[in-house]
Amino acid sequence: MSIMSYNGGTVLAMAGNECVCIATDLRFGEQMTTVAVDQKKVHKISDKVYVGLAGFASDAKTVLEKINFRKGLYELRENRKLKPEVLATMISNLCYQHRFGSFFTEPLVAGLDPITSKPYICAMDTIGCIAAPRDFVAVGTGQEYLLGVCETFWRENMNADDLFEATAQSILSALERDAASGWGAVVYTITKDNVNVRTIKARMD
Amino acid sequence: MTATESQQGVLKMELDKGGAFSFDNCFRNMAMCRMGAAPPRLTSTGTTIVAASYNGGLVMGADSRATAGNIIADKHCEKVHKLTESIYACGAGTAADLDQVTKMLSSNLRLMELNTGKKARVITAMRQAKQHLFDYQGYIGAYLLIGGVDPTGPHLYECTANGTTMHKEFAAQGSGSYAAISVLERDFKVGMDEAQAKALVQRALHAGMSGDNASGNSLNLVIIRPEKTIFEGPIVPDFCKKPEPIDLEYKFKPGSTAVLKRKEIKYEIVESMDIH
Repeated sequence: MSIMSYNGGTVLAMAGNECVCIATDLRFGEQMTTVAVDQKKVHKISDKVYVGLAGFASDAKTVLEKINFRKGLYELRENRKLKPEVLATMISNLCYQHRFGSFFTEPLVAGLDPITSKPYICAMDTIGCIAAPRDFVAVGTGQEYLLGVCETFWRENMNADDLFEATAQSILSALERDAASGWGAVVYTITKDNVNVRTIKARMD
Repeated sequence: MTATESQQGVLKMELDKGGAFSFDNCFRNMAMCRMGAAPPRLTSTGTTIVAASYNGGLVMGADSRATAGNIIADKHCEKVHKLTESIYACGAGTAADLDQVTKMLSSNLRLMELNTGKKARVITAMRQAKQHLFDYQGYIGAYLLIGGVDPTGPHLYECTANGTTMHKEFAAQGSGSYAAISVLERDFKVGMDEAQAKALVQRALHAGMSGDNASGNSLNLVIIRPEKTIFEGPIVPDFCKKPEPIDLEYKFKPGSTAVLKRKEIKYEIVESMDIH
């Protein structure tokens, strides 16, 4: 069994018109046993930038601490707000530094540019190879199911409401077929005015 | 302490160890492997990359698919990397390695151009790449085609992850290279003009994209002439197009998803601060 599916969990991000959605499931398991049902894999880095960390949970925690440390240093010495692209490059470099002894976590970045509100989403592999498409990205145990369903649910230039529905329905479909993810989901909708955090109704098994 | 003093204190703090690799997790990861845990799949470019020289210039091209196992991880991945204005590198192998190696090469070459006041040469790019790759004994999985035009003329080099380099007139690399090289071997002629070379590279890429699972989606081309460089792409060949969508759209009415809990995070409005 791969380390990447030891704890289970899925994160999905979709981009719309001046908005992005990032969704996470809530299960934390140890192989087939569910240990906790309130484990969010999405973390707030700054107002409009969120990061998702799927994979091995203890590495995800370590990487999150390293990300927050570097983000703090960046803001102190550059004296400006962090753009999502910059954060992604920072995480990519952090992961690549551990190229030959990697952290078993796949980071995902979603956010809006603090000034222009241009949406940005990207996913990485464990050693920091950035994939930044304009539509959607997914990481974690449900990645394969998500990529397929998002391909039909995603449309060009969705507004925040449509984007939320598409993201929520996509992750619900993935949870139907992924045994390692589930126990509810949380969807963050980031717009230029606010962030809406919605816990959606899902099957609880 | 004044603001500048504290800022300098921050500057002095070590962000990373000068870009070197950290081997902190190796022992743990090896132990985990011995316990029977499979290592994660890395994104590989699993590529078709092609280059051919013609009378006075060079055409290079790549497909745009990145794979992780059988999953298409990225449909529009950029595999034609710019090193300088007139030197480009196409990469096959581990995607993260390629991104980082080409990033390192382009910054080193730019610094060199600024220090010497001369345009960098293709052979310099090739030597920097091979020395880095040889240092790491093939563990950095970057297979490169480095090509460009410099004051000594057009050049094309193939560089493997072990640090072996070869000077070539035409070359193909990656998992789709078997299909591509057969097209090149059949049709390549010395002294072609630009249009012929471009068509040949495109045909070779098409062969790779249809014959190899790990190649496809679209192609990017770069034509390097002595006076200027033209980048073309992404070009989607007909056989890579998604069938016309039927008149059907999956659109959910707002409110279709049952929401259990809702929370709104408002942004703090910071007034009169020198951000950005």
